[in-house]
Amino acid sequence: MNFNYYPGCSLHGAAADYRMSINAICRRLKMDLTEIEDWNCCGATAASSENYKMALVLAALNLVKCENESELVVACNACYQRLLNVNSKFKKYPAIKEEITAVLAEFGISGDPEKIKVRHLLEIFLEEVGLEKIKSNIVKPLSELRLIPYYGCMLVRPEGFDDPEQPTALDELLTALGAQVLPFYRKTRCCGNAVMSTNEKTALKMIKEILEEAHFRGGQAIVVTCPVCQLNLDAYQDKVNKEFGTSYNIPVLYFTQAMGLAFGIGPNKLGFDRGIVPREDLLKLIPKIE
Amino acid sequence: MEGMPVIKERNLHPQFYRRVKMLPGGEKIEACIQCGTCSGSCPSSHTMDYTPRKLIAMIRAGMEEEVLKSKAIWMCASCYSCKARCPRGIAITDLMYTLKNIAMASGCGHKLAGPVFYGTFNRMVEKEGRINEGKFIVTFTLKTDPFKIIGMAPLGMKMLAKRRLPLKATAIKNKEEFRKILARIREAGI
Repeated sequence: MNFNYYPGCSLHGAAADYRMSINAICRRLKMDLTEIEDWNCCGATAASSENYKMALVLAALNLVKCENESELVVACNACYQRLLNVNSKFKKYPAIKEEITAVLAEFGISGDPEKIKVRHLLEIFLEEVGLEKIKSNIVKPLSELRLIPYYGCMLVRPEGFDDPEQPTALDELLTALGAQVLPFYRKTRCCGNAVMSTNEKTALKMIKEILEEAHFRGGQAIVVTCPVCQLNLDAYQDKVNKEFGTSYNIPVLYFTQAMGLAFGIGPNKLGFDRGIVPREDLLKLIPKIE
Repeated sequence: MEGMPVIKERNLHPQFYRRVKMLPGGEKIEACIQCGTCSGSCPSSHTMDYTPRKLIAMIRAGMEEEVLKSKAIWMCASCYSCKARCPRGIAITDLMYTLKNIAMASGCGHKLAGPVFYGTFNRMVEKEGRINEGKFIVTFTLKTDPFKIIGMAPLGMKMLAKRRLPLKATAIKNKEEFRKILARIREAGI
């Protein structure tokens, strides 16, 4: 299976472990992810905040690099939503579409962004690879692990492939890996990353609410689908503890790292040692014998 | 949190309401029933001077300056809970973006952390085509609160030690054309 692929800036930075684990499991599943040529930043929440047309151009520039009628796989929730959004925005606002298409045409850029189907990597595993094939690759079921499925906002809102408030895709995948998937009310409650740098107190409170429930549920780890959520929940636990007098120490891993562990791939190839909250204790709960 | 501002009728700007209605997220605000589902769903409304529900009422009243100078619009974390739940189908998150767009274009509240944050991010995207997270956060912090850098150092060191903070710059190849396209779009305004 071959897919156009948009990694996004984080996967070349703070989410190096996401990149490593994606590469490792895709090799195992014989999936080829081909990075689109010279992709640019999706604009995140910043471009939309200053100029919504800039946000649409940034996304469209990436989409037109794909062949018409093809699919583009995105690993980061924020990039996914930005790229996915172009289609509905162009449909809703034909005048804006016309303006942006005209500007791109001035630079000899043709191609119709609406012809590209944007999909999240998690969606590809569920709908294209399929749980059966994933199960057939499992050598070390995660049956000793109690996991919190955390989706974040932008995987399912405002658009997406699952329920906007109580999605199940990640629950299904982790269950297929043999893990004990815990109920989690705040699975799509915002982690607050967009206001972390501008209003830290508010963001810390948002993180705390998620960690608090994860702890209350007895989760041994939080599993995420987005580098932005990962960084926020992982890197700021210290600060949350200082601010609220708590002592949370919950590892935060990518769903692709959980898949890699179940596939028997070595933790070093999954960037497992790169958590700010150490993840190594989880390895004791993975079966030794293959 | 503050109550609705009380101002003289001559200081209201009905044209502001008309303008917002023409922009993304503003189309349906006439249909708002002021139920407050948006404010109740919002994870940061407790820190806002005016909640999303109040902002909509203020836009409809024509309170241009009060809306554009509010801190609330910069507190939106873009989680889309309000948009998912609004019983009148108002795209409130898009409306918040539109208010930020107008505020940034008019220089309103340009000294607040929000606009500086987004502006710094966007200038880096325009320059390099991609974002280097470490470089961005340092640039932003130096602009707003240089002493905060010291407090950020421990986390920065951890990120470095975990090999999650690449020092080499990341950039696209075709920068020249990319910059021209973005300049052309910004010229067009919102």
